[in-house]
Amino acid sequence: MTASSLSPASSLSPDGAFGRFADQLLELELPDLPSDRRLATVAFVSRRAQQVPTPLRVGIIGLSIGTVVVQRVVGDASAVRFFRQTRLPLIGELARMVRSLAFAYVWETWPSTTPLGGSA
Amino acid sequence: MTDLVETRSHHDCEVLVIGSGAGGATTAAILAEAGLDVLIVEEGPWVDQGSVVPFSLDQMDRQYRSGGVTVALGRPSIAYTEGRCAGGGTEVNSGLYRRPPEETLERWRQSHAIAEFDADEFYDICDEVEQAINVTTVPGEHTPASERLRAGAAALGWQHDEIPRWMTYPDGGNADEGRRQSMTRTYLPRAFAAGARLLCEHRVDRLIADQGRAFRAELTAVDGRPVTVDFDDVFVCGGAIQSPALLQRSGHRGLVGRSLAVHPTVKLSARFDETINVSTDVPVHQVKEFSPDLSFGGSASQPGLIALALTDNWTEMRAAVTAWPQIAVYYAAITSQGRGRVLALPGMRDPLVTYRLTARDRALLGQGLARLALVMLEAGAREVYPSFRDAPIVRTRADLAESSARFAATSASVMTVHLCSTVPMGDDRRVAAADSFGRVHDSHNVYVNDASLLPDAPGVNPQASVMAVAIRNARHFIGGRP
Repeated sequence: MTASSLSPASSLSPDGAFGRFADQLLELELPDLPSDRRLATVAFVSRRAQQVPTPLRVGIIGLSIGTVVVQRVVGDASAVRFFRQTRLPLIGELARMVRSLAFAYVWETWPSTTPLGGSA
Repeated sequence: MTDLVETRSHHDCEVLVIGSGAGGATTAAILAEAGLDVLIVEEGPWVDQGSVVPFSLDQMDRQYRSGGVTVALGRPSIAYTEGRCAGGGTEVNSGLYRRPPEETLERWRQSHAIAEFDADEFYDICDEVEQAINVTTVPGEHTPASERLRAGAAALGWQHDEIPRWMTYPDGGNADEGRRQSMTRTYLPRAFAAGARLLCEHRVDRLIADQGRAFRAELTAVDGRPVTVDFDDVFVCGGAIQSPALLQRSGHRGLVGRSLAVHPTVKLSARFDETINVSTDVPVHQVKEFSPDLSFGGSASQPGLIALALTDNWTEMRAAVTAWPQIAVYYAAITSQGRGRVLALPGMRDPLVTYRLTARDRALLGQGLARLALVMLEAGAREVYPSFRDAPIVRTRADLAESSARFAATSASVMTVHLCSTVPMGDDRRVAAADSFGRVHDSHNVYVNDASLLPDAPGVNPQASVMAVAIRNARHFIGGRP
């Protein structure tokens, strides 16, 4: 975790707070996804996050920085599990958004991917 | 053809048309054919049909605003999409066409005091539109996914129809052989033939006015250059989100952006025993048994979209993803009594969009999903996967009860593609932001001519309504000129 991951300007890049969260979430959700595919997927999801309308982007940046703060308090794995499962309005949307974009990308790009992310 | 690549920093025209979709393209064609000097400004690029795979992520990158990731915040938030390319939404939508019912036209006329809004004249314009864009049914075979929807409704004895599309087909051609007659193939070429110019990849930031008369538009080109356009009159046709946002950035407030209306939809995926997925086309059948409150239809079903539809209960449903060729996505759409807002915020490029469903809307979404699942079971689906958090897999009628019990609209993946009513037209200033022909109430020469003008969501695919209203208003404008 670096200081730049807390910077609003860089937090939506693949190696910023958002990308880091997306990478960890995908590792949990699609454990068999090869690392090169996971990197490509995180890059896609991050690019989409950078394109969303400004008010939404501000919200995503805020939530992404929130993931970093929570990770510092409770640890990486617990934080990702919390954001993955929470039903809290808006906060719960972060994992939902990452999952939706990532899964759409994975199965459009590699349609024969197995349910856990492996190459068929 | 037109100035697609343009480096000038200033343009002049008689009429500036902002946006090139169903409203803008028809407006430009009618005005140019009447001899006016028309400049169309489009924020997105020109993308030739056939150069992108329909309903793909690549298409979303190139032809949708924000890559297709746009959301009206609320509980639940509602994902929506906007076309952002020459031709607007007509380049990317399903191509389905339906006239608004006469009751809808009458409701609009009365609720907003729309003057000279005669149904017969309106339908005469629809006749003209239908000829221009070749509205037709599929001459050959429907896609398997469409046929399944039809069969399920028929088994239940529920009313269903094939919705015509604006397509051309080869003789006896099947559903997936259609060629869409979008604005880049119909009204934009007409506008060009009459002398209109098109400036793509330029965003209009705001309109400058003096004493209620707008005279200049400030633009930003895709490379960041500032550009200006001076005009006599301007038609804002950027769609129900961008049009009110531009008006607000230009100082028009009041009722502008306060009454967003949509058709919220919930989805499910249905798995059959045989291959039914045609990923580059959508079903043309709709179930209208509960219309106008509820209607059911089919959605795009690329494998990526199948995976996306399973994410709400991924742990339980993920095993199905490898069977995507046997799966198709369907939707239940409601006519909503809720309303939303579009709000341009200082310092932000894009507006904040919100939408609030009513309690009746939430209940109706649940009913719609349950009834749609029933159609799928009757159609022979082996498994049905509703799109809401922790939804159960539905295999039998008995499972429907559990699915309905678990459903909550706040946990559903709700989306819409029909956005309307943010600058409603009419002479009743208590509810209308523009007059009966689209002129913004506090302006002399700023007109809106797109889905924003519709007083509410029509309960059917709105493109026919948008095009007919736009043509009507453009002709009225011509008739009123000295």
